[in-house]
Amino acid sequence: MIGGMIMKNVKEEYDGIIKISRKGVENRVLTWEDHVCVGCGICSEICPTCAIEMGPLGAIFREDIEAPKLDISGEKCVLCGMCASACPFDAVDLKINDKSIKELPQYPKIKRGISLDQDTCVLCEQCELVCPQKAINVEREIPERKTLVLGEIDVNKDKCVLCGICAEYCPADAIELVPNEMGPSSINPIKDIVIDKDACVYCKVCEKACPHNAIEAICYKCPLASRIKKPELYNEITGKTNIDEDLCVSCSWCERVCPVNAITVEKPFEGELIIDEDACNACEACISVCPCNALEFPKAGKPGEKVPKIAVNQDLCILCGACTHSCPVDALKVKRTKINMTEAKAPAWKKRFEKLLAK
Amino acid sequence: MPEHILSGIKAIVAIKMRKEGKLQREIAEYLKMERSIISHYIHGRYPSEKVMKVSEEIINLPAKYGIRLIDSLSDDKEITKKLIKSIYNIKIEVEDDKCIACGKCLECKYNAISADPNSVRVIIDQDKCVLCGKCIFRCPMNAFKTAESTGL
Repeated sequence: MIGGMIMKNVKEEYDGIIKISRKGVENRVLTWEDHVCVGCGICSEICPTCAIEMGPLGAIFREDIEAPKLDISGEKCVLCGMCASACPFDAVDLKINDKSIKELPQYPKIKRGISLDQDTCVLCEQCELVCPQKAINVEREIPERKTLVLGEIDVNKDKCVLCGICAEYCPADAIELVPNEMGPSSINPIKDIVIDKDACVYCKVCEKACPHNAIEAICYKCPLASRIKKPELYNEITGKTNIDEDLCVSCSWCERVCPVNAITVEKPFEGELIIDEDACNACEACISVCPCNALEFPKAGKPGEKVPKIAVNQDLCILCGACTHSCPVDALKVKRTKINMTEAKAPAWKKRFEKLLAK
Repeated sequence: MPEHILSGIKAIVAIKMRKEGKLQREIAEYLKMERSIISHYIHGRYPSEKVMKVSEEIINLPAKYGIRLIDSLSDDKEITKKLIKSIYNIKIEVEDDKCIACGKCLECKYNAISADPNSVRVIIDQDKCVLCGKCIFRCPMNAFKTAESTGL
């Protein structure tokens, strides 16, 4: 027996978490969380002991099967923490004597992130709509409706014949005819006319449409159809755009749709995603895996025009490589030219990180 | 039996030191032995022929294997370290471009290995190191090696 004193690794698996620990002079605990992992496989690329094996990602993301995105071998893992250091999504962590190596400055870290200038943000919600990870939530409070829309509307029930012409014209869908439960004892088809005051904008279209002059509407805000002063209103809009950085994968989709450049995204790699058209069989695995929603089936072109089987928006791709691990025919390749990271001082670590770059 | 082999190794070291011009007194002090025994060794009155044969085989092993056998012969680490140094003239080094600082070697019984707080690597305290060679076999990255020692 060699060594003899070395404590063996203990591996635990529960609730989508893999935990490998070793006690000794240093107590080391490696934790991987499935729900944080995007399946990019950078950990498996960098692991110096080949202890990490990726699962069938295509099938997992399509929800054909339920399985963890990867497995870490308790026998092969030496708890060096390189995977934790390289994981751009903080799905793996290594604690040495209860301290995460992410807090230890001597360990390198792949940098990426997102920042938002709240002062510039106009709370337009565009970013929230495009975020593939649902990491953005815009909380905005607009001025009360009555500051903009205020008036009165009244239907004279004596004159109204319940014809519903007003409702057909109403641009705000604010008028509703209530059907009657007809029967010999109650023969009218319509019971009543109801105006939804939360929807009505007092535009007076109904008033003009009514052949019986049964509706009267008054708009207090624009009695002479005068325009509302916009700047005054805009100052009254308050709120905050919240970004959940744990969910954000820095795809930059939000940055690109933001009309006022309030968001800045820092990507983990530079380079490009290369697709081998001949090899691709358009199975969709990569599309379902991509955490950035950067891949799609191209829209059909004009007749005779050659359309690629799969298309990538390089601007949205973060070169994480999740698609490459999911592709059953190896049609995708990430060509990383630069890693955005803090310096790896140790030569062995530097060498391993350089493996993530294109050969 | 291990005691016999230990004597055999000591005899080889004593003869080697004599050849290097060391006095019997110096050799006895160095090996913490009585001068008379050193005198016996130097004058060819070895432990048995068999013991000497095995001892010769051990010292001719590649250092990383030889040191483990010699280390196992005695609990007096001062002596085993001296014997190893005298036979192989080595120290243990870590190759920084292989070491990933997984921390397995930190289990060194003699606390000779520590983590460098400024980098992701380990440092060997050569004074504390007894040249037992366990770290060489423990390291998953083959980062430990024996290297020629400069000066005793």
